[in-house]
Order: sequence, then C-alpha cells, then structure tokens
Amino acid sequence: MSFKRWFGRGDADYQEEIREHLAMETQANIDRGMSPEDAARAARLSFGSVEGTRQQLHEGGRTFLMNSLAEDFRYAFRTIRRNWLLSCAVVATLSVGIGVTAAVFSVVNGLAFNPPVNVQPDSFVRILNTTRTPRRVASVPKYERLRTRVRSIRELAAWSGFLPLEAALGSDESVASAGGLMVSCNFFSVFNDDPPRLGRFFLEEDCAKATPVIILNQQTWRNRFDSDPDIIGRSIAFGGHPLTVIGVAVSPKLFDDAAPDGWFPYTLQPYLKDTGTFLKVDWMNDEKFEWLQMAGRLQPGYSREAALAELRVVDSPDLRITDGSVWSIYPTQVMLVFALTLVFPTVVMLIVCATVATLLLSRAIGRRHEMAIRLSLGGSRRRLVQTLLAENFLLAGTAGAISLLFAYLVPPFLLEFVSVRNVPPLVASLDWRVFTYIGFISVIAAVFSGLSPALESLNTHLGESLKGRELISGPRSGSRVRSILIGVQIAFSMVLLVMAGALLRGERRLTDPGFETRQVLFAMLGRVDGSTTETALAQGIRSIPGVRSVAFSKSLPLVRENGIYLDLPGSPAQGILSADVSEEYFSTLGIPVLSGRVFSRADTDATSDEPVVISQQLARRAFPQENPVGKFLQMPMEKRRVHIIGVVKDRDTGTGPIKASNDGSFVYKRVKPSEFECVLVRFDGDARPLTRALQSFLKLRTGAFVPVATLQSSLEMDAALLRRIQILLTLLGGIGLSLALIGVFGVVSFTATRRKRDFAIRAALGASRGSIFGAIMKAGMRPVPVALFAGAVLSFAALQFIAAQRILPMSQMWRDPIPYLAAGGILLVAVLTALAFPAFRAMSSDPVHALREE
Amino acid sequence: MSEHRIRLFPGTLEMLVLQTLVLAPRHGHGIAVAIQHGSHDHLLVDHGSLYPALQRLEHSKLISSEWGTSDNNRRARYYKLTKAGRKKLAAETGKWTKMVRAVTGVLGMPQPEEDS
Repeated sequence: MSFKRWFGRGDADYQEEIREHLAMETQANIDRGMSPEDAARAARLSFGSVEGTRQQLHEGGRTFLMNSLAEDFRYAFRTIRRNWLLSCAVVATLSVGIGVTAAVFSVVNGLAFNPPVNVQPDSFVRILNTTRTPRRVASVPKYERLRTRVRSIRELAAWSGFLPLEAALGSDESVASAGGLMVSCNFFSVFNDDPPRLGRFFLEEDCAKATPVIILNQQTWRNRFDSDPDIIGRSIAFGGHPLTVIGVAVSPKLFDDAAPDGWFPYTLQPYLKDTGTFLKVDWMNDEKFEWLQMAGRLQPGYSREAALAELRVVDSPDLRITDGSVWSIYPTQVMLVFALTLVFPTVVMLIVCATVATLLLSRAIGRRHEMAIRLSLGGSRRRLVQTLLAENFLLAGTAGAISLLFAYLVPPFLLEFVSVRNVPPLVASLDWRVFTYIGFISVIAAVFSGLSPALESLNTHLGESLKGRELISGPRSGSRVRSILIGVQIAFSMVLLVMAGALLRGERRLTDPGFETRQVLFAMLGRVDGSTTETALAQGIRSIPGVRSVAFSKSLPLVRENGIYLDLPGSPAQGILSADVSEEYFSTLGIPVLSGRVFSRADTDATSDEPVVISQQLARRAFPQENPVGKFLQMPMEKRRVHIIGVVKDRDTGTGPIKASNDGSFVYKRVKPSEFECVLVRFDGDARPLTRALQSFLKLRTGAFVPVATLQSSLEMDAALLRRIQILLTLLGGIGLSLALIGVFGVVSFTATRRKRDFAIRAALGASRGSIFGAIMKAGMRPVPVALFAGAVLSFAALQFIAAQRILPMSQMWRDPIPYLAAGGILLVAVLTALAFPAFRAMSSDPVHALREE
Repeated sequence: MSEHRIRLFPGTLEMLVLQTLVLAPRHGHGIAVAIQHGSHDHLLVDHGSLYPALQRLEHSKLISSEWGTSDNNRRARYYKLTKAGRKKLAAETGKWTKMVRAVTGVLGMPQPEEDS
C-alpha cells in the first residue's frame, strides 16, 4: 500500500486498464452491429498506438527514472565489457586527468583547511583581531590578564612573530644570523603534536624567573649542531648572551612564519634586547604595544563560540576565534593559491576530456546504425543521450575512484619535491572537500568527454543509416566537432609548453631582483674587530684588478634583512623592511638613484635624526603627492625621526613568502662603521680569478678563511624552486602533448579508414598517391593554425596573470618570444608526424583491394 | 467523416477530461466516449492519448482513481475530480471562455470588402 502511495501505479495496472478499454470499445462496436473482427479492429484504430501509449505511461511513471537509470547503467556496463580495451584506455586517460587535479587539490586542501595541530584539533583555538593586523593581538599585560581571567580556555599560549635576530648561534660563525620565537612557557602544551626529541619543554618557572634557556628546532640541531646527542645542558651563545639548551623539538605547523631556529621564554625579551633591531626596547610592561600572537586549547565542554563570548567580555570586542587553519587567517590568499595551483591541472583535465571525446567519437559514429534503429523504434533522443552518457559516468566514476588514490598518495611526494625550504610534514587527509571536488570534476569530465560523442551518434540520416550505407564523407558537422576537439587539445598543450618554456627562460631572469647579482661578489665577515676599518678594507679591495667598487652592509641583500617601525602619514607604526648599508651600496648593486642623494661620510655621525634613503614604493605610499626628499618620519620605538635624503628605484625586498607579503617599501640606513658584516664587490670580467683574489686578500687581512661567492649563487635557492616547478610543468606539458597526439592520431587514422573507399575510387580514377597523402594531411592540419594562435594568446594571458600575482620571482616573462616559437614548433612537428602515419598507410593501400572489401 | 475532425490545441485535452468528470466519476472509456459525444464527433482524440493525460492529472493531484466495476460488469478504473481539480477546472474554463470571446471578437470584426 505504502509502496503504491510512493511510486504510484505500476505498468501492469495500466496494462490491465488499456486491455479493459479495448474490450469495452469492442463491445460497444459489436452493439452497433459490427462483426467481432471488425469491432476489434475499429477499437484498435480508435485507440491509436497501444505500444506507444504503454511506453508513454511507463516513462511517465514514478519508478521510471530509477528503473531507466538502472537499465542505462546495465547497458553501459555491457558496452564497456564489450569494448574493454577502449574502455581501459578511456579510464586510464581520465584517471590521469582527474588524478592530477585531485592530487594538487588535496595538497592545497591539506595545507589550507586543517588546524595546525593533529592532536585533538577540535579543542584548538586561534585568537585573531578583526582589525587590519589580524595576528598580533596582545601586549604582555593583556596576555597575562586574559590568561588568568578567561575560564573557557584551558591553555592560552602566546608567541612573538618570527624575529630575525642578527645574532650568531653557537660557535658556528659562518651563519651570522638566527631567527627565533619568544613564546609563553605553555606554548608546547598547546602545540603538542610531538614530544621533545631531546630534553624537555619549558616549565612555568622558566617564564616566571626568566631563565636564559632555549629549545632548539630539530632542523637547526641537525644542520648546525650536527645532531649532537649531548647538547642538552650545554650553553650556546646567542648574540653574545649565553643560553642553556634544555630541549630539541619539532617545529609546530605555524604556516604563516618561517621556521625558527629556536624558542625561548618571552620573559627573556629584556635580556636579549640588543640582539636585533626589533628588540631594542623593553616590551614587557608596554600596555599599548601588541606584539604577541595567541592560541589555546578549550576547556572540555566549552565551544569556540562560548570562548569568544567570554574573551569579548573580558577584553576587547575586536577579537575573533578560529580553528587556526590558514583559511581562517588568510582566506583571500588561500583562494588565490587554489586558483593558481589548479590552473595547470585544469588545463590537463581539459586536454584529457578532449582526448577521450575524440576516442569515443570514433566509436560513436560506428554506433549510428544502432541509434538509427532505436530512434525509428520510437526511442526519444533525450532518453538515448541519457543512455549514452551513463556509460561515460561509469567510466569517469571509475577514473574518479582511481584518482582518490592519487589524492591520497601523491601529495607527500609533491610537497617533498617542490619544497626547497622546510615545510612542515603534511598529513594528507581525504576529507569531504576532496571527495566533493573529485565527484564534481568526475561529473564534469563525464559530461565534457561524453556529450559531443553522444550527440554525434544521434546525428544520423535515418534512412541512409538504416540501409547500412553511410554517406561516404558523412555529415559535415561530425568532422567539425572533431576539428574543434583537436584544436582545443593542441591549444592547451601549447599553453602548458609555453609556460614550461617561459619558466626555463625565466630562471635566468629570476636572478634579476632589481639589482646586479652576477657581477657582484659577497663575503660575510661576521663582526669585525676595531682594527679592520671600512676605509682600510675598501682601499685594499679596490686595488685588486677588475674591482669597480666596494660596499658594506650589515646583512646580505634579500636574505634576513632587517626592519624598522615608522609612523607613516595616516598609519602609525608600520613595519618596513630595512637594510644598513654604506654609501657605495647603490652604485655597487646598480640601483639607480631617482632623486635626492645617497649617504655621504658626514652622515655617519648624525646624532638626532637618522638620514635614510627610501625606495620609490615607500615614497609613493607615504608621500603620494609630494617630493619626499627633505621630509621627516617618526620612529615610534626609538622616539627618533628619520630624515629622507634620497629615493632609489625599487628592488625586491626579499624572496618567496617575504617578497609576496611586502609591497616593495624599503628603507636604507647608513651602516655604523664597525657594524658591517657583509662586503659587496662589483667587478668586471670573469668571477673566478676575482673570487680567489678576494679570498686571499681577506685571509691576509682578517686571518681567517672567508667564503666568497657571487650574489647570484646566494639566490640559487629560489632558482632551485623554480627549476622544480618547471620540471613539473614540463611533465604536465609532456602529458598534455602526448594526449593531444593520441587524439590527433586516433582521429586522423579513423577518418582515413572511413574514407578508404573514397580514396580508392579517387585512385582508380587516376589520382596520384601524392594527392591522397596531401588530402589527408590537409584535412588533419585544418584546425592546427587556429589552435596554435589561440594557444599563444591563452599563454600570453596566463603568463601575464601569473606575473601580476608576484608569486614567482620573475617579471616580464610574457614578452619573451622564444617560448611561444619553441612550443609552436614542437607541436607542429609532432602533429605532422602523427598525421604522416595514417596518411602514408592510406596512400600505400591497394585501391582494388579496398573497393572489393565493400 | 474523420477528414473534418479537428485536432486539439495542446493542453486542452486535460481541461476536457476534467470537465467530463464534473458530474460523476468515469472510467477511461467513458471519458473518451463523453468527449466524442460532447463535441458531436468533431474532435479527433486517439483514445490512447487519453491515458498519459490521465496519468499527468493524477500525478498533479487534480484527479484520483480507484478500481471499480462498470455497468456491464467489467473491471474498470474510475477517475474522480479532487478539490484541487475542481478549482483548476473553474480557472481554466474562465480563461478559455475569455480567450474564445476575444478571438471571436477579433475574427468577427467587419471586414473590408472582400468576397466571401
């Protein structure tokens, strides 16, 4: 009963009704005086098509949709089994397409949406500001107040932003700087994924008593201390201050900062005060200066909402609480990364769909006869399309299931391969987002790759097809669809190849960060003693033949440069990256001076106002309308002013993430005479003899071996990253290209076979073999010029877009014609080769044989 | 005879079916006969096309149906108007009369001299 109510009447019910109807009509006719035979005939006539009505009622029934789907899938399954070789090829191709995008999606997904902890992630809370500086939320007094008062958060930890400290770590003098996080002593109770590798974590008394202790990052311990097992209890120098190592730990996944070399109690801030510019002032009692970030663990039984409500009551309404995922902190950036990383896999997916479509298209045309029969038997076109698409859904579904494997297995390798710097290990999790994405992509793949073949097989001339005699060259539209598909494949392959090519070429230009890198040598001297003066060193170095100029700075350009706080008009206390440099720095690095002047000797003993040179971008930002030269800006921390004496052209302000997060504002200060640690030498000619000459000179002067290298080599890390991205792209381009070639080859050989009779007749009528070869080549090449042009336009747009995002450290790469030409050439040759095989076969076949075959 | 029969406008069959059920429930054959008689044999309705229409009406809850016994003692499915069906019929009939009146009004306009 309830079955009937849900699904309505069954087919048998209707059938009985129709039977009764016919019986009644027959009876009525007999009553009118007809013979029984005539009466039955007339009844049938007045009813119309019994079969048609039954079919209509069947299709209108409620169970119809499900039944017909089941039927379609059974049918699809049979077709797949019959053509298992083709089906395997299709599934394999689709798996590659879906798998590549699934793997990339799962990487970004894993990085973006997971809380930064694996142990009890549900209780993790990250506290952010709703204001423009979301991460730094608390001053020390505020943090301590919140920690004691807020009941719903069990552990509330705080830590400073990444502090680039210009302090040597331990006895390792070759690396003159180290970075660390100042943390509250319960930091590792909140980020508690891993136990300490050695020793212990902080105790509350470490913070209370401000004991000079440090926990080393496992990576630093491995790289700089050679995994020394006896390091616990040893005292290491940190910028001249001894710190006792109490532990070695794995860095928590705080994606938003570089991995620190170590962690120490935040109460050590006054103790470490003079190890870096960021630490010049005592921050411990400053109520206003919010420099701490906060995260915590919820008390059991409390929700994030409850904790937020309490926080807002206790302190400020500006706070918000999140699960700590990157997504919750930087949603727009995450969207951008998704968009950028999925561009290439999507292109591959499109190529895959086009390839599969061409594979299926050949078969679809073979199926026209079958479809013609079904159509003439009264099957509706919609129903047939549904039937044909069912097969594609089955194939794409299988491919989707296979690509789940990709999504699970590939991400760790992918990250391992791409990450040059240390990225925290990723737990690839297949969550609902990955499943949804794969499902979505599979459906799209099924429709994209299946719709045009399905429509094609219905595109028949019923009469001709039923007689078993297709028009010799077939309806024109079919070959147009094939042309378009081939064109799409070629165009997208071109995009991938141009990208790979542009990166290959860009690797050379990458090392143009806005200043000269090839003709500049650098040497890190470390802190020099008073006897080695700038003047003496400069004089000595300048006497080496080939040296053009010598400059000094506190740190290596682009690597761990400093920062100062400045009050800009309208926005107080902005952190701006800065470098301490000598007057010849700009000419040595080839940074043009746009207005004003650079430092002079006299600037070194300026007392009250600090003379600075600023970058063009900072000038635009702070003084949009006026000439900045001669203006003053306040340094809120030092309570001093800076005096702008000149403006120079922008240069990169860092590499990778640092560069991406800065707008190019930069401040140059005059390096104090005894504080320079880096010597920069501009030279002419070959680097090698000069490197040796400089090395022996420095050895003579300082008595120590000092490594010397070009700036270029210090940027190799970025180059390496780029090279790996380029390898990946080339790989994708290769996949795309070979798929496109499979498509071209398949379609052309299919057409050639279909037109065999056509060619045979032509040959019999006296056409030369060359003309047949030419005809096939010409037909095959038809979509190529347009496709290549479209590919060039698309890649131009894509390159420009990528350059605009400033993610890859290169610029203007879309202007270089070489990648376009190379990619176009490669594709042209490949397509011609793929065409030549079927054309040659058609040319050399025997016409008599072909004609007799019919 | 069937030459001067007219085909129905799409959508009108449903309206006619509803109308035949106003007075009493009928079975499919009865509905077909009623339409034929009512139109004085002017309408051409394949009996077969009635059933999909009945199915559609039943799905949209304008009629309901159950098995019963016909006058000559045969099993037959009887269709009955529902409340919604009555409302629908009233609305459709109103619309139809309005349209017919409008169309005849236009067609009945005095014509400029044209031979008949």
